[in-house]
Amino acid sequence: MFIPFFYLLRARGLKPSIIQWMTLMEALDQNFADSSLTGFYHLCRCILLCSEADFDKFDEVFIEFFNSINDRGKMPEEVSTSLIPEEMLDWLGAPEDPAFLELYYSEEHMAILEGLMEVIERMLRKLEEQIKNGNLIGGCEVCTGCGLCSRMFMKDGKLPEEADMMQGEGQGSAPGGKGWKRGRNAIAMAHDRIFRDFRDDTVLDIRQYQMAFRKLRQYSSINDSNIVELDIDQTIKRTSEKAGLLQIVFKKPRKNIIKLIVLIDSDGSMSQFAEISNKLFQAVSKANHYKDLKFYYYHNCVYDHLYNDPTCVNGKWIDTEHVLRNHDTEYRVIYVGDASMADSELFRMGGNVLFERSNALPGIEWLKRMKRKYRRSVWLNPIAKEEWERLYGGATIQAVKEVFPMYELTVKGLGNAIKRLLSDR
Amino acid sequence: MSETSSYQSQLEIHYSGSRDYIVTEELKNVVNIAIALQKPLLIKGEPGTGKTMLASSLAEALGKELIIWSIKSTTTAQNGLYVYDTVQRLYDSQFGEGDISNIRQYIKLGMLGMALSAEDQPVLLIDEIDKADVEFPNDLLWELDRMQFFIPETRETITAKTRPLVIITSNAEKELPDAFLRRCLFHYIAFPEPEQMAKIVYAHYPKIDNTLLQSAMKKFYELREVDDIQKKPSTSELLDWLTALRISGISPDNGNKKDIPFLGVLLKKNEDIDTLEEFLEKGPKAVYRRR
Repeated sequence: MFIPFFYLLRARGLKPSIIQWMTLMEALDQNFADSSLTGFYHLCRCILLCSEADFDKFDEVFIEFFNSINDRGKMPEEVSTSLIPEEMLDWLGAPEDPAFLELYYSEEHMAILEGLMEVIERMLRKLEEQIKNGNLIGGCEVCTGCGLCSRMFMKDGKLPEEADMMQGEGQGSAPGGKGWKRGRNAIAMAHDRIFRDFRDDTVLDIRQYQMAFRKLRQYSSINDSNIVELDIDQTIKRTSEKAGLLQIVFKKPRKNIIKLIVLIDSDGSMSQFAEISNKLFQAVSKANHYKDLKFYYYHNCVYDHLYNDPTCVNGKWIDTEHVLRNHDTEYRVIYVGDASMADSELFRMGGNVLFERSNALPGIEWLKRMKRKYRRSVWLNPIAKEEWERLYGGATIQAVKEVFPMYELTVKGLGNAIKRLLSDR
Repeated sequence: MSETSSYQSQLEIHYSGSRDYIVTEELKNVVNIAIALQKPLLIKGEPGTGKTMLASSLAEALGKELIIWSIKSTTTAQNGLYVYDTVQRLYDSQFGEGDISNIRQYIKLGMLGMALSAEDQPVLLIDEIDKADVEFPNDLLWELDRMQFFIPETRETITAKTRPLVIITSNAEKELPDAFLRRCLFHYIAFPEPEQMAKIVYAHYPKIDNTLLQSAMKKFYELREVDDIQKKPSTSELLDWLTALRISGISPDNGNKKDIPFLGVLLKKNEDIDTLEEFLEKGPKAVYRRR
């Protein structure tokens, strides 16, 4: 009977699963909520959430949903069509009202469900067509504007129109990569598509980058690992020495102990470098020899939040504070970004170009804080070195360069950057 | 609280804290829900807030055996279930010792295996699950769901007679996989408020001098406010510090604002001690503080 609550949670970005939901139902059935809203709140929180990072968001949704019960008629959009509030109030008074279930499985509801199924089928058929035409990855141009496909591929619950608006707040420099425009709404594409392929296994010429990252290794010293690996050569040798009497020999494994955080500037002025960042991303993510490897994204400069994916959408982030706390000083950090931005973005409080995410600490201070903790950090800049001074944003490039050793994002620059990461400075 | 009492009486087993472990109402409820729903309980929280202690308190309060499986970076799911000691069997075959046709004697149960084959319901603590490889929690899904496992060598299936009460702790060093998280109940132990903290201290040192406690706690919470300290002192550090202060008879203030006695008990990292010194000398402005 709380099904609208379930969907509101999902609509607001929390993703409780059906298993979790069923567990909650079981707990309610055993009367663990004790017919009180506080009880229900704690119950939901311990069953539906998986991380303390979600607590705040959960509180928001909870307030949104249950407040709406108090002010009748002001339901959030997602639940406004439902019949729930009255019944829910009833339930809070008398928890065992079977009439309600009947209502939920009424013919009316079933009819709506069937309608939904038809829509889904239609979408699937369309998808199949596109796969046949080989147009799926390239950006479905078969049916530009049908809405269905872009919704299917929309990122993070954002529709292309919303993406447009977001871009409007950004730097204003249009994405200039060749082949992205082709007469379509370039801004929408920039947001919707360019970075989507980060995870796709397109074959790119990334070998040279991969070779460079190969060098980023440092083996565990002899003392800090257990003797767990079978040493076949020694076992054969010793066994033969003992005339066939089995002698098992173990050795310590040799493992790369490098832990790496890669922070990628995404969006805005970086759009023109999307392809090169993409290659770098693939090269690093294919290197499987790191002890730990984390990717985060930022928009122009590091502030209070780091984003989990390149779209840099509100909410899909973790606190920079959290990253600092949970990654020890052994981590190496690679920043990828053009470091070119308005002075205010780097030096002023509240300089974050996305206004609604205002920052109390200027960007440069965040960078210095990061540097204090992770002294082995480098900055890779896709802008050619000779242009660093004369280009727009030269001042911020200089300032960032004073904090981090900066290298050109070229194969050679990458090689040097990695040497720097390995040195003990 | 009256709110919770009505259903607690319905439960067969029910946990309400133990002598030297102070538990919040919320945590108590979560534990009881986990017991009733037979789900593993995942506990997160700052180091030193008593995550591990919860399991021993639970075992003590319910009079059950506590099986601790401490996870290390090299631990695999297989270790927890059983190990087939092939090397011993090879040696035995060479020396003609033992009955090598009886494979069963070379099967050694791990901690999880022991918990599943126990006669009476035990409390199983899977401690610091985030220390292990990222894939580790996924490898445990089936066993924790079904509470059974199969030993191919002896063609035996071991099924738990009663599902063990499973407590899992994590320090959030690594993110745990979603599939795993969804099968657990989750509770985050918030850092205790001063009031709660005083209760905890009294549970450990019932006779502690009140002035000492007050001034020590004041210093302690001030220290936690310094933002750049990486490993913030927590409950266990406070308890150690109080012991040190009591034995030495030194007051935490010591007249001198810039000198905290036995600082090494509270701060374990050299970097943190440096940060604090900078903070005390130059004031909060030198070190960035949160709003």
